[in-house]
Formats: sequence, structure tokens, C-alpha cells
Amino acid sequence: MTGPFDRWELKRLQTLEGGGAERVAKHTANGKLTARGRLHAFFDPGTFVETGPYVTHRVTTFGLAERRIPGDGVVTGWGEVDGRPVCAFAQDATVFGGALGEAHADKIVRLMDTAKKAGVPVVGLNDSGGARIQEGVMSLGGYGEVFFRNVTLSGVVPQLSVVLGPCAGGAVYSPAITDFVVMVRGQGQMFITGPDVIRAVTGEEVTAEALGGADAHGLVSGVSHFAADSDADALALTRRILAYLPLNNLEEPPATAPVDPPSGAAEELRGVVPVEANTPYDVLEVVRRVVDPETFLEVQAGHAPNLVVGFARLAGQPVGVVANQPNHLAGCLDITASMKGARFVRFCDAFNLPLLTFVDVPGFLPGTQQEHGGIIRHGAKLLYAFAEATVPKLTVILRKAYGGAYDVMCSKHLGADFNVAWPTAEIAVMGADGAVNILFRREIEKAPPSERDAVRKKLVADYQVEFLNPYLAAERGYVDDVIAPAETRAKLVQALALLGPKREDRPARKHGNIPL
Amino acid sequence: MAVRVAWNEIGSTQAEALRWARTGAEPGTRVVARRQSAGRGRLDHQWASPTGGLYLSAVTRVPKAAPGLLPLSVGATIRQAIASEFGIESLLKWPNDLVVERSPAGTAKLAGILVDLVNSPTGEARAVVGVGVNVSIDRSAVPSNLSARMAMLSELTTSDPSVASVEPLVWRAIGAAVDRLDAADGPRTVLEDCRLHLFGVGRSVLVDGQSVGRFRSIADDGAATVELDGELSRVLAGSLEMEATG
Repeated sequence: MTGPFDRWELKRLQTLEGGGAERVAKHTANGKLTARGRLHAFFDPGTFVETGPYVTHRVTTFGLAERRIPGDGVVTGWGEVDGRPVCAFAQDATVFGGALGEAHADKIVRLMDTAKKAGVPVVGLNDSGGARIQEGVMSLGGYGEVFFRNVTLSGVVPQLSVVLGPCAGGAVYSPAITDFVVMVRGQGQMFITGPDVIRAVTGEEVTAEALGGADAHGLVSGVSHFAADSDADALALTRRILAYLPLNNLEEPPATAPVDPPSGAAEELRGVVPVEANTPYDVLEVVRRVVDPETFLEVQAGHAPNLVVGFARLAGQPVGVVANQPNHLAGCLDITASMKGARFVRFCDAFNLPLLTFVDVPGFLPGTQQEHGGIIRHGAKLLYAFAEATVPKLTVILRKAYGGAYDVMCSKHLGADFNVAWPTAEIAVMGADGAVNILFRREIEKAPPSERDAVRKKLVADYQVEFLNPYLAAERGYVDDVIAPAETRAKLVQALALLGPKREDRPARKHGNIPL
Repeated sequence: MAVRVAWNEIGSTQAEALRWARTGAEPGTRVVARRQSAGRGRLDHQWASPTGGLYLSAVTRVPKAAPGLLPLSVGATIRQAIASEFGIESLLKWPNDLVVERSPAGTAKLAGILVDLVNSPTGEARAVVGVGVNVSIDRSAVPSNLSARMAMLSELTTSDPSVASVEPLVWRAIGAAVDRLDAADGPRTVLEDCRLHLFGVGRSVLVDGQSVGRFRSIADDGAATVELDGELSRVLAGSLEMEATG
């Protein structure tokens, strides 16, 4: 007879087997880590604490009574990331293909409840074939319990999803609700209906990767926020994201020692933005010279590139950066950019990340596609999000700030705390050509046809001098100051020091009604 | 004085390094060869050694803590070095190989480790750590049945690894593996590292050529832990054989 400790030793080791050596070998053959291996790689060495390794399902139909595998296809627990606590689960594709059943879902649910009580982020490492069909409605129930907690925890603790394998059907809604999705190229796939169903229903032929791979969701749909090239790459990236975030909504984001940009960076700013209003440039050349060096982490880099969003540090303090990108669509706001920006701004507001906005926007993108696609309500989302945010809001107008887009881009009127403009700023209702055509149509028509061009040119030049500048807005206090580009970082750092402890209350309500 | 002895061809770097150690060579002395004519693996198994592999045997001090874990410590440390340098996640096949899983070929050996203990002429204990790594061997130079079981570093990464670039990596790892055991909590962290990257957990194994059990883990003394008839047993190297499948 073996004693209790021998039995425990055996049982404990049996839980480490996963779906069996054969399946583990097949899984790891493509360079993937095992579920447990992923968690160990994700957490600081030696900090992972596993919970529920003995949990099994209690299904007896479809021959499942004989196939009870300790852990039930998901490894759950907590550990440390850069010394800070984080809860995480990893689905084990070697056990029932990682399919989710009642017991599997229960483990995730318990982990999320623990994260809620402890006030720590939840990271999900997804690698699952979907619902465990043998468990029928119980697996649907399981999904629902997870979704409910995803929603309950939204805005309370950061939730991150890493998609390292298939994630199909109902399973996709959990990552969709979480704050950020990281996908591994050629490996992670998300879709509601897969290629087989699509072929059967619509006759369309599409591969799983083209339908729901990292590029499909990173560039086109906007479901994913980051793409990685391997398990290790994705996990390192997830750790990097967490470094900018507080553990929960009641904490401040973790500050680090401030690092100044290399000397000369501030002076270079003056040459980065072309004075000619129609010349494109890369707004990241501005961002990188203002924030702490090497700290900018772009979010959704390939999706809606006309609006750049991302995390950075300003004098060590994590901030959320939003910037129009004149290199794409001249920096116009469109539907996808508005949605991308709005979701990011709301995330920053929920987790106490000050907003740093760089403005160079000629307006909203014109066209029937945009109008019929609902740019009115989608553009309103970005406006709503900026206005709703009560974190410190700092705005720098670099060049164009035209029309409604001026208002939308975290203007003074939406409650921004510190708004500055560069001397190159053009804060106006619209560009000179458009304005002159409307305001001086009669004058231009009255002129003899041979002189009309000259008259228009003169009027445009006059308008440019008179209205395309920052001073009319400054006279009304719409911007707090007009500053030299080289002063930007220093002014922002001072403003953040003042406004860091900012508190702003709004009328109590159940929740607002953002135009979704 | 610690020296690096480089041969174009030698019978066995391990035999040569042992000779150096026995005659008083200091820790840090190492023997490398472009190819070996009588390369040796554990239990005097042959180790195919054509050009394109790293064949290195190093004289080291014997760690004060748990010297029996040295082969595992070397394996785990080289595994980590290869993972960080080339992004290749290999597994530690108890007791002394690094393997990778490749579909559809199955398990293939990337590296092998061999540790012998000797006494210097002054009576000090020395370890001779032999490491063979398949870096970029021309597969046509080895029999096809052997080639099928060999993993090649150059085929697993897009960076272009050379024997010359792998040697310092392995050399540093051997030193680190010795130091690691003597660090605070060394044996425990080495064992944890090994268990985390262990190949074949749950695989059926033959013990002493007959009783079929399941490989479970590594015991605290470095022996294999095998489940036999619902109980855990310690099995020493030499009496355990992993079956090809299962």
C-alpha cells in the first residue's frame, strides 16, 4: 500500500501530462509551447501558482466518463509580471482540443472572480476548438458565465487576450470584450463562422488565416490590437503592455524613472512639421521627440493608420497618445479611425492614463461610403469618448485643426485641461480655398472672368494670414498658449505634474448612451 | 593555465579532454574538433560527428552542491541559451539530450551532453563536460536512418548559425551550469527548470528492458521518476528506455 504522500506525488505528476505525450509532441512540433509552458514563460520565473489542476468534467455521455483528464483542458492560476500580481489562464489544445466545457469554464470563472476580489488584471491565453459539443448546452452556459464576468470586470481590471490557436464561434466574444487582443501570425485565428460553414452557406472559398488570422484582424477588422510572430513573442508583448497599466481602476498607472529624449530632439521638432498645409509627414516623428525615448508602444498600428494611438511615458508617467497621421488620408478622421480612437480613449479614461493628443486634422473624410457607413454616429463616438474622459487631457495642435474635427480632437470645449498650439497651427472652420469659395462667391463672380483667378488667389492669401493661425483661438482662450515646438515636452511635463492628481466629477447616472 | 585545444579531426574530444584533466589541466581547458572519428555519447554509444557539428569537451570544477545534477544543469542551461539566441524551444530528454518535436518527422535530437568525473594528479575532482550540437551538418554525410533522428540548428532558424558562433554560447552555458548549482537554492531551481522543459512526460517507458511504465518527472537526485503499477519509482540512467510511440 502506498501512503498519502506517495499518492499525492503520483496524482500531482499525473496532472502535468496534459492530453498525453503523443498529443503534446504534436502540439509542440510547430514550435508552440504547452499551456503550462506558456504560463511559465509569461510570468516572472518561479512565480506561477496553479489552481485547480485536479478538476475534471462530470459528463458521462458520448464515452466521456472514461476520458477525464486532470485540469480539464485549461491551466489557471496567478503569478507576477515585473513583480506585480496578474491572474491568467491558458487553454490546453492537447486536451479535447482545448474545447470549453462546464468544468473548464468553471475554472476560468473562478479565476476571474479571484481577479475581481484581488483587483488584478486577467490575461487569457486562448487556444481552443470552441464549445465541447459533447457537453451541449452546458458549454454554452460556461461561455455565458465567462462573458458576464468579462463585462463585469470591464473598466475594473485590465483584461488581455492572447490568441495562440483557434478561437472560433461563441468563444470569440470573450476576447472581443477584453481590452486588448494579441494574435500570433499563422497560428491564432478568430471567426464566428469558419471557412467550412462559409463555403456551405455562401459558396465563398477562404482560408482560416485569410478569414481570421492576425493580419485579417490587425489590418482589416480591427478586432486585434497587436500581432506577434511566436508564442514567446506574444507573451513578451503582453508583459510589455501590462507595464503601462495599473492593476485596477482605483490605482494609478506604474510610473518609472523619467528619461529625457536625447539632446537636440526638442530643437528638431521645428523642422518635422512642414509649414505647407498639404505636405504630409509622419506624426510619430513628433511623438517620439516629445515622450520618453523608446517608450512609445503603438496600438493597432496597421488598422486605420490615419489615427495613431498607443502607450508612452512622459517623464516616467504612462500616458495614452492619440495623434492624427498626415501620412495617411492627410490625417482625415473616418469611420474606422473614429472607432479605433474612441475605444482607446475610453480605455485610458477607465484606467487613469492621462491623454496626450496631437492634432493635425483637415476634417472628416468626405464621401457617400463614409456618410452611408454612419460616420455621423461613429465620429460622434470619438467626440463622446474625449468629452466623457476625466483623466488629465493635454492637447497639442501642430498644424491643421479644421471644422468639427477641431472640436472632436480633445479641444478645450470637450473639457481638455491644457491646450497648446504651435505657431504653425491653423485653427479654423475650414481651409482657405473652401472658405473663400463660400464667403466671397459674389465678389469672385462680380470680377471679370479674366481676373477671377487673381481675385481668388488674393482672397485666399488674405484668409490664410487672417484666419489660418492659432491666434484667434488663443484670443478666446481656446488654447492656453502658443508655444515653440522645442518647449512642448517641458510644458507637457509641467502640466502633467499639476494635473496628475486631477479629480473631476460629473452628475451621477447609470451610464451614458454613447452612439454605438 | 586554461587553454582551448582545437583539432581538425580527433577520435573523441571527450577522451582527449579527460586525458588533459588527468594530467592536471585547469578548469577552463577545453577541446574542440571539426569532426570526430570515434565520437562518444552516454554509455559509450556512438555519436555521429561529421563536419558541421560542434564537438566540445570542457574541463570544469565539480559543483559543491548536488554534483550529480551537473548533466541536467548543463542541458537546461544550453537549452535556455539556444532558446534566447535562436528562438528554438527544445526539450530536455532525460537524462542528457536536447530534442525538438518536428512534424511529421517526430522527435529529433539537437544536442547531447556527457559528463565524466576524474581526479587531477593532485587529487582534486574535475568534471569533463562533453557537448555535441548538430549545427549545420550536411545530411548526405550521415546514414539516412540516423539523419531522420537528427535535428539541425540551421534548419530550425532563419539566422545562419555557424559552429563558430555556437561554440562560445555553449562554452558560456557550461560555466553557468556549474555556477548555477552552487548559487543559493541552486539544485532546486535547476530541477524546476528541467521539469518545466522535460520531454516525454506521460510517455510509456521500458524499465530494465521489460516492465512498462510511464515517465513522470525527474526526482530530486536527478533520477527518472516512473509510474509503475500505480506507484512512483526512481529509475537510474541506463535502465530506462523510452518507447518510440505512446
